[in-house]
Order: sequence, then C-alpha cells, then structure tokens
Amino acid sequence: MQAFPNSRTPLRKRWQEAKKCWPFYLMLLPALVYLIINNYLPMGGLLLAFKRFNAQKGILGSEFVGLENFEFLLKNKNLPLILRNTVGYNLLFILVNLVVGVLIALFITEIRSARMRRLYQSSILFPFVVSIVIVSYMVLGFLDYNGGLINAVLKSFGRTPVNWYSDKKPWPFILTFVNTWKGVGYSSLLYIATLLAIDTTLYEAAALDGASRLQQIRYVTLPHLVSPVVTIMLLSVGKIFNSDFGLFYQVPQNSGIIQSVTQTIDTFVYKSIASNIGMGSAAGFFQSVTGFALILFFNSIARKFSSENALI
Amino acid sequence: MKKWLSVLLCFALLAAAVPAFGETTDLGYPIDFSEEPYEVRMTLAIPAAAPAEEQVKRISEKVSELTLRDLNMTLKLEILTYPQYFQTIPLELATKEKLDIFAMQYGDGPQYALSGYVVDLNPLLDTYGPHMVGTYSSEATAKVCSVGDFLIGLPAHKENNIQKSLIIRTDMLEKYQIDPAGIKTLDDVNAAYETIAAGEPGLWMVTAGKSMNIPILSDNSIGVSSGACLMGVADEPVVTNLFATEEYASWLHLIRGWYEKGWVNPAAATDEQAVLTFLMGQSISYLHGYAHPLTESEIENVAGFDVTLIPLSDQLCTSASCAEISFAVSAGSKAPEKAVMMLDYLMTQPAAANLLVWGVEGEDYVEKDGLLDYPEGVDPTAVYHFGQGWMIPNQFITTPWVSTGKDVYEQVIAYNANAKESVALGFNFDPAPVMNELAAIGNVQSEYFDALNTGSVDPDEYLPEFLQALDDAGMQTVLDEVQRQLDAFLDAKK
Repeated sequence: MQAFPNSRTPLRKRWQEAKKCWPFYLMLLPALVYLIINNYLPMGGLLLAFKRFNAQKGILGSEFVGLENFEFLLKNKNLPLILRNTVGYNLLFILVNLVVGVLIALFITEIRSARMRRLYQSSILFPFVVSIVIVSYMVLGFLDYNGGLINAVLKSFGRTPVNWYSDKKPWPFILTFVNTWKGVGYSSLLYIATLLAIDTTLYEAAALDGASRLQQIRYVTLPHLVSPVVTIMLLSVGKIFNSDFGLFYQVPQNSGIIQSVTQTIDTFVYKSIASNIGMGSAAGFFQSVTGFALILFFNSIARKFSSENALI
Repeated sequence: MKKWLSVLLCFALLAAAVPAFGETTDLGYPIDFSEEPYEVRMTLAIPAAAPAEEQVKRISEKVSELTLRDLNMTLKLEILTYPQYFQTIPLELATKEKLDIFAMQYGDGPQYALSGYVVDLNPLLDTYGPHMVGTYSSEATAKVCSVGDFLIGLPAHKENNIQKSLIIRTDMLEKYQIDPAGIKTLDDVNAAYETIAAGEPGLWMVTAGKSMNIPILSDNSIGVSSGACLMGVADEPVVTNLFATEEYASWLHLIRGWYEKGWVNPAAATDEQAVLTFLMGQSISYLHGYAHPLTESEIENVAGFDVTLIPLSDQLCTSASCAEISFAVSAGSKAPEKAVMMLDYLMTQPAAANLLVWGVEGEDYVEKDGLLDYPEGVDPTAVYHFGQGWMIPNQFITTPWVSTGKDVYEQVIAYNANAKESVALGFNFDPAPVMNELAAIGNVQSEYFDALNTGSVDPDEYLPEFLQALDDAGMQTVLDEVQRQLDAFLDAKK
C-alpha cells in the first residue's frame, strides 16, 4: 500500500493521486451539491438579522437597521435567566448523556450473543426516531392531573395528587430524563462501535498482568473512548446556545407558570415575537455565531492536548 | 329618421360587443374573457373541525362555475382550522406563496402592512371593487382596517361589537329552574353556579383555558394585546393597564374561588382547546366575548345541544370588533386586481355566498318558506355545512338557516346599530416604536396570564409579581406611546 499523502507531499503528486480517485469524487458530488444548497447558501439569510424585513422589497431591498433587531433579546431583563436555562440544560444533558451513554455501551458490549446485542441496539435507538410531539403526549399520560398515571398511583396510596405542570421543582429532572431517554441511543451507537473495535488481545494482556475487571475497564476501555467522546462533545458545544424546541415547548405543554425553569432562547423567541422575521433572525444569528466561535475555541484547546481528536 | 335610428342601433351594437374587448361586464367589472381563466386562491379559517377536503373541493368547483361565467376566474377554496391557519398563513405570506385572498385577524393587520405582506386595497377599489364599500353602513366602517391611507383589508359582514356573555347549557337552567333573565352580573353567575354545583358534583361549572375571555368590557384593540386599553364604554380616551385595575383583581379572586371549589377544569392553564370540554359535556358553561343574535345558533350548530346566551355587559364597538375578521389580498398574489374583483363578487352575489356557507342546493340543504334546512334523511356530518357566516365576506346576502329565523340578519344590523362606539374607533396603533417592549410584555404574559386567568394560582401571590414584571418589561413606555398616538389621532379627527 502506498504511503498516504500528508502535508509534506508535493502538490503535483497529491493532484495525481486525487485524479486516480475520480470515481469517489463523482459519488461525492450529489451530497456536496446538497450540502452547499442546504447548509452554505442559506447563510446569506444572516443578513436578515440586520434588516427590517419587508416581503415586497425582498431580503436585499429591505431597510438596514443595524443592531436594532438584537435589542429585544439582548436588552431583555430576563436574558440571564434564559441563558442560564439554555446553557445550563445543555451542559447537564451533555454530562448525563455521556455517562449514561458510556454505561449503556459497556453493558451492551458485554452481551455475548450478537443477535441479542443487535436487538438491544435497535431498541435503544427507537426513542430517537419518535416525534417529540408524541413524546410530549406520552409524558402527559404520566403527568396529567386527572388522568395521569403518576397521580393515579399517588391517589391509590392516599396521597394528594400533584399539579405537575404548575410546579417548577421537578422540571429539570423531567426534561433531563426525557432528553436522555430519547437521545442516548443515538450517541451510544458511536461508543458501541468503538468498543467493539478494541483489540481483544489487549484485554487478555491486561488480565495476564493481574488487572481486575474494573481495572481493565479503566486502563483499556476508557482510553479508547476518549476519541468519540471528544468528537461528540465538540459537536455539542457548537449547539450550546440552541435547544430542542419540542422538548422545551411541547413537553411542558407550554405551561406559563413554570416558564422560569423551562424557557430557553428558542421558546422565548417563539413566544414573544409573532411574525417579525428580522428579530427572529437576529436571535438565530446570535445562537449560531456564538456556537461557531465556541467550537473554534474548544477545538484549539483539544488540539493542544490530543491533536488527532480535534475536529479541525 | 330611419337613418338616425340605424346609426343609433349601430352604436348600441358596438357597445354590446365592447365587453369582449375588455370593457366592464354588466356586473361592473373589467373582464377580458379572451385570456386564460385566473385561479383565485382563497383561505378561510374555522375554530373547530373543518369540512372534509372533498366537500370543500366540490364547493370550489360549484363556485368556479359561477365565477368562470361572470369573471373568467376559478376559485380554489381552502378552509383551515385555527391551529393550522396560524402555522401556515404567516409563513405563506412571508415567502409570497401564490395566495390571493385570505381571512385576517384584526391584530395582525398593522404588522402585515408594515412587513409588506398585503396589498393596499384603496387604489384598486374604484375599478375592481366598485360595489364593496356600498355594502357597509358607512365608508368609515368599511375602511376601519387601515393604517393611515393604506387599506389593509375589508371587514366581514357580521356583528361588529363585543359584549361579554356567558354560554350555558339550557338543560341545566331548566333543571334547577334558574331564570336567565335574572343573571346580569358575575355575582348572579356565582349564585347560579352554587345552585347547580350542589346538585351536580361530577361536572365542572365553567370551562377555562388558554387565552380565555376576560369578562371585563374594554377596548383593548388600541394596545395590540399588551393590556393597554380603554376601560368599559369610556367617554374619555384615558389609556389604562387592564391588568392593574381593581376590576381585574376582583375577577381574579372570583375565578380563583371557583377553581378552589372545584368548579373549573384543573388543567385549564395548559389547555388550548378548552371549549371541547364544554362540547363534550364535562362542563356546563363558558365565558364568551359576543352576544349577538346569531351567537346561540352558531354554537348550537357545533355543539348539537341547546345553549342559552346570557349577556353580562354593555355592547362596545371597537376597531378590533369591527374588523375582527377582514379579507386581505396577499402580496404574493399574481394578479391583485383579479383578487379584488373576486372579493367584490363574493361580497355581492347571493348565489356564491350561499354556496360558501351552506353548500349546494338539493345536496347540502333544501329551501322551505325562505329558510334553509338539511334535506330529509341526510346525515348533517356527511354534507358540506360551513355554517360560520361570520367567516365569509357577506353573510347578510345569504338565505338564513331554519334555526335562526327569517329576519335574523335584520336583527344583527339592528344589534350593530345599538352599540356604543368606542372613542378610539378607527384608530390603529403603530407598534414600530415599542417593538422591544411588546416582545418583553408578550413573554411576561405567557408566563402569568393563563395561570392567573384560569384561577390555577393564587392571585394574592402572583398578581403583584405579574404587575411588577410588566413594569420591568416597559409597560409604562407602551401606555405612554399608545396615549400619545391616540391623542394625535383624535386631534386630527377634529
């Protein structure tokens, strides 16, 4: 096998190598076109954040208003609370999904039968594909004041039923639980793939050296997981100012009184401005530009520690 | 003599031939029958279940037969439920989808005009909509949905004033021998609930839900739902914060009392389709914002059981109530003049209007003594029966249904004439200077309004918080700006 081209290979040789692979580039072309149209062209819409949109004048013709559209978000007295919720929940979700994801991956890779393993992998992936709106009604089935399962159980034990949608305290737990239940199957797939690829002779060597089960996990398994974990974390960090709108709006049934613990930037923008395109774009601009800056920042840190794990 | 006659006849012949060349038809529209028929897309909305798509298509085709003959246009009718409507229409307007006529809520008008979503109808009226203004009681009423000279939409013909009321099941009133004429205030309603609740422990007395009607009469169209309003049938244009008034505080305590007694559905604060509870028979009444002659029959059309309407306040005619539903032409229309002609046609031609509301004669209804009813043996749910006359351009030219009686439209017109006009009638607030404050206020309201208004939380604890949060969000700035614009409007009128 020829040596892979790297940054020291002369340009002409790299070009020759690339030309040999032209079928692969051709196969890549449709996806590339889609990526450009779907992800890069719409970036022009960032302009809308600085304009007062008039449908008859179009994006380019609309009046330029500078930073005015950002005021409703950045000057709002509730902004610290909203940011606390958005960033706080995201950090909590990243942490919980990491721990639970790794645990699930460890358990699943312990299963000997390949058929059973595939069954479990598919079943933990199932919640990921269920629509969040349906999930919000499943949650309603548990938490509804009159017909919900939890209140029915409480009543049968003689305790007073709780109006879940009016009580702020349980919601951080409820939202984390729903988010993990729904999303962990997806991220744990990456961990499972990594774990299955670990050379089993490493475990045998460790056992020979007298390592216990726990020590084997600590010294063989976990180091292999560093790579996918860093990848997933870097990708999550870019979305730290975003939130799953369905999770924070539908699941709490848009209940106003618990707003201080369920409100994120996305639900705030949706609830406060009906059809002002400029203001909505300004909020989206804020989220995506800060997310991009964060990815670059944390990526440079990751590069210092383990350059092969950094995204760029 | 014969020579002059023949010359005259020649001119007459020429004049008759001219419509084919683009002059006005005998209905008064400039139509060119030689070009391709234009398809006008019209969207209406309905609070509860919409008629089935095949039914709507059938009606579109029938109306198109008429319009093809008279206007060289076809009609593509769309009826959406409120949730569908609120999701799709703003998007379609922003992306300039090929939408011609659509039903518009009063509150959305100024923002749509500001964002260039709708076409100014004023310049088009003379040529393409010559009959519409004449169908209203005055030009002012016709053009109430305007911002300055920009005519945003033309109001639907219906009751044009609000009146707070209670809708209550007739069988409950009869069972406990409560005379509806004796109920005039909220205290009377309270007494009625006491009697009924004692005998019906399993039922809720009143259905509450999100965005429920507040039974306090006010003109809040001036404040674009921020809470800035003119209280009651005000003579003086003093802009007040509705939520800071004593009446509001005592209303909150009243509904809180009802909630604690178990008379209100407990999940009210998160219930978006609360009226369903009433329709399914789990509660016996709900608070409504209208009390006009057609209200009872409209509700009975949907409910299937008898209801009694009890007025709880005076009548008030505001800009919003006049133009609650109006018809606007989207900026995405390929031919706004044609859309205006279609609207004019639908507003003045009884045959088309009857089709829109009641369906096809013989299939969906039959006529008997000047009133309409379902045909013998036909299942009401299987035929087209839109039934919501307030959602079409002009219901007054349709034939009344059997449940409303022959002179019902005259009654509505008389009812309209009886209303007191708000001092702010014709005033449309321009929200541009206070967009940030309105956004912040909207957010505060989404936190507290439903919880307080449905009695789900204790007003002693939360009302002060609510008022404080409103002040922090800039309520006083909004009140001052509304007052300033209103004073300027009234000065200009003098």
